[in-house]
Amino acid sequence: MHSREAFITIIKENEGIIYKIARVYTEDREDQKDLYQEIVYQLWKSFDSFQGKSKVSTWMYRVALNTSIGHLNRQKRKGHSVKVDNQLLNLAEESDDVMEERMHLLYSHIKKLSVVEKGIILLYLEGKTYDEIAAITGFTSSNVGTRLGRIKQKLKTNIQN
Amino acid sequence: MELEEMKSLWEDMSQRVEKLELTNEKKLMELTQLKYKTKFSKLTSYERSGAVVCYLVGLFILFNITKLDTWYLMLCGVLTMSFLFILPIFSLGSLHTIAKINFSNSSYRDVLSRYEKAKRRTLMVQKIGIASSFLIMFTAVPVADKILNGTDFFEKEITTSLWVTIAVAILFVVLVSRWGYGWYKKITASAENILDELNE
Repeated sequence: MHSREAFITIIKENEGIIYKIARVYTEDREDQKDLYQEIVYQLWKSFDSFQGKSKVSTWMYRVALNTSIGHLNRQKRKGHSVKVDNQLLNLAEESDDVMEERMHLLYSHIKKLSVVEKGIILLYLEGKTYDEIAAITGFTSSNVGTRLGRIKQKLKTNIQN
Repeated sequence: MELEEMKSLWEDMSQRVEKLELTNEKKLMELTQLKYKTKFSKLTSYERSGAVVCYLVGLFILFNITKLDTWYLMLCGVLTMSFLFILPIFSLGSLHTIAKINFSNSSYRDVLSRYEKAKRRTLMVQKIGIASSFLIMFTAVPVADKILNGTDFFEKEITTSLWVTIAVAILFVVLVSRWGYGWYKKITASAENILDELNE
C-alpha cells in the first residue's frame, strides 16, 4: 500500500504534465481546473495498482490522457454544470505576458487537431521518442511515425492559413 | 510559427510551468481523503434518479393494473410499463460500460476506442428513447386517466380543447425528437470519424 505522502510527492514533482494535458483538452480555465482535479483523482485511484510496473511519467501520461478523453467540457454538458468547490489548481501565478500570448496561439493550433492527434502531438512536444509514444498510446512505433508526419503537415497548413 | 519553433516554445513553457506552484500539498491531501465525485459519476447519479422515478411510476401502474379493465387500456398499461422498466436498464448499462474503462492499465487507443463505442451505444439508447416517447405519449395518457380519474379516455367526447391539447403535445414531441435526432446524428458521426481514424 503506497502512502498518501508518496503520492503527493510524485504529483508535486510532475504537476507540469497534468497542467499541460489539462490545457490541451479544455476550452477555458474553469474546465482546465475541473480536468486537472479529475486527473489527480484518477491518478490517486490507480496509484495502488501502479506498483512501479512502468516509469512514473508513462503512468501519469497514460492516466491523464485517458481521463481527458472522457472529460465533459462545460460546453458539452449544458444543463449539467456543477460547481467545483475548493479548486485544486492555482492559476493565479500565470501572467499575461508575450510568452503567454504565443502559448495561447500554440495551444489554439493543437486544439484544432482531432482527439487522436492531440494525444500524439502532445507527447511529441514533450520530447517523447516514437517508442515511448507507442507505449503510452497503444499504436505501433511505425504508426506513430506515420501519424506524426500527417499531423506535422496538418499543423503546417493550419499555421500558414 | 514553424513546427520547430513550436517545440522550442513548448520546452520554454515546460520550464516555466515547473517553477510554478500549481497545487499545494494540503489540497492534494484533501482530495485523497474525500470521496471526490467526477463529472461522470454526477451524470450517472442523475440517470439513476431518473431510473428511480421511472420504476416508481412503473410500479404504480403495476399495482393498479386491475383498474385497466379493457383490452386496449391493458395494452396501453403494459406498453407504458415496458418502456419505464426496460429503457433505464439500457441507459444505465451503457453508462456502466463507460465507467468500467480502466484508465490506468489501458492505452490511449484502447480507451478512446471503447469510449467512442460506448458513446455510440448510449446515443442509440437515447434515439430509441426519443422514438418511444411518441408511442408512450399515446399510451400513458389513457392509463393515467383511467387510474387517476376512473374514466376511459377512448370513450371521451372529443372536444375542441382536447384536440388542441393533442395537437400541441404532438408538435412538442415532434420538435423535441427532431432536435434530439439531429444532435444524435452529429455526435454519432463524430464518434465514427474517431473510430475510423484509430483504425488507419
